[in-house]
Amino acid sequence: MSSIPSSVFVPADWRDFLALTKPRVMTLVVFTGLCGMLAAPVGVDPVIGFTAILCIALGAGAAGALNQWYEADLDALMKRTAKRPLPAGRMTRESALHFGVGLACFSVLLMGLAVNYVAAAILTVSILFYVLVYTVWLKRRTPQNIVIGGAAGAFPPLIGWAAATGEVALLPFLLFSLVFLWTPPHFWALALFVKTDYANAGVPMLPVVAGERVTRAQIGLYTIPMAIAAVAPWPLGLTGAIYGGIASVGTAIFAAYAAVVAFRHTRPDDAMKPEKRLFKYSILYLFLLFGALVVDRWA
Amino acid sequence: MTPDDSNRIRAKQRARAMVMALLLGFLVVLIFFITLSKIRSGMH
Repeated sequence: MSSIPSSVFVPADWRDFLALTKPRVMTLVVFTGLCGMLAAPVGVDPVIGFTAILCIALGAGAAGALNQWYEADLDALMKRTAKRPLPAGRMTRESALHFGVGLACFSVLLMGLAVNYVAAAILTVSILFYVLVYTVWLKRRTPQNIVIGGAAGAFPPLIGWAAATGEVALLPFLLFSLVFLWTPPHFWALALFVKTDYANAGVPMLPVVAGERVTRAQIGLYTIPMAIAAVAPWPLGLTGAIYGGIASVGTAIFAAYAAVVAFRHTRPDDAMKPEKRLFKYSILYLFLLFGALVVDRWA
Repeated sequence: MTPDDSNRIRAKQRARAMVMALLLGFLVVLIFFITLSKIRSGMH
């Protein structure tokens, strides 16, 4: 522990600023944004493409920082988040706010000036949606928080596509729908095995408010439209057989794992293995589908 | 505050300044290449 008196100003470490951007979440955001760009029917200049992906990453980092700024009190109550820079006392809230706002403005400005204004506009909406709609408005108020808030994480493929083409089309909208509908089963699988953490923090996640039975049923229900959105680009002629094949098999596995979770009950001292398996596979699934989309486009 | 504490704070400040310098350097290079790309696309 530090022996420095509390009255002395200790600057936050640069690693704490990095942690504020939620780098692990950023990985998926960057990947889906990149795939959205690479799946577009037009080529993009490598420097402009790199800048667009950098802006998506910075925008996601800014949203993550502002989320942690607003939720420092909640994070302190949960084991999973208690070691983050703000609840652990390694950074002042003011620093996090300035960092988040500065990064958000910079990412949008750079996107607008270097890439195009359509991509910059969608990036702005995605940051504002995550911070204002999800973090400030929904998260502490309703168990539907991650259903509506899931839209925030669904914007990157749309931004990537817009960065390449300067417009939006049906395929990126389907990709948006896919991530949007994937979010509830993904997060509720997590919420089932970290329920105590959310309950302690007073976050109205579905398992806390409505119970496990309802959550399990909702996981099963949301998997149906998600599966349709995942496979739809193929029969609609927007992608080829490579994507169609991988999406069909990957989605069938997802549906099977989700069905196991939907139809089981928690036993005493349950290790929640099916829920953990669904959560882990859901991440792989999204990587797989977006990867297949790019391979399909370039093969 | 002991000399050790003071050294630790200085080390943190130095590391932050170094990271900031690297990021600014990267930004200068990036903007240079963005400018080149924009000029090139304007010529087509």
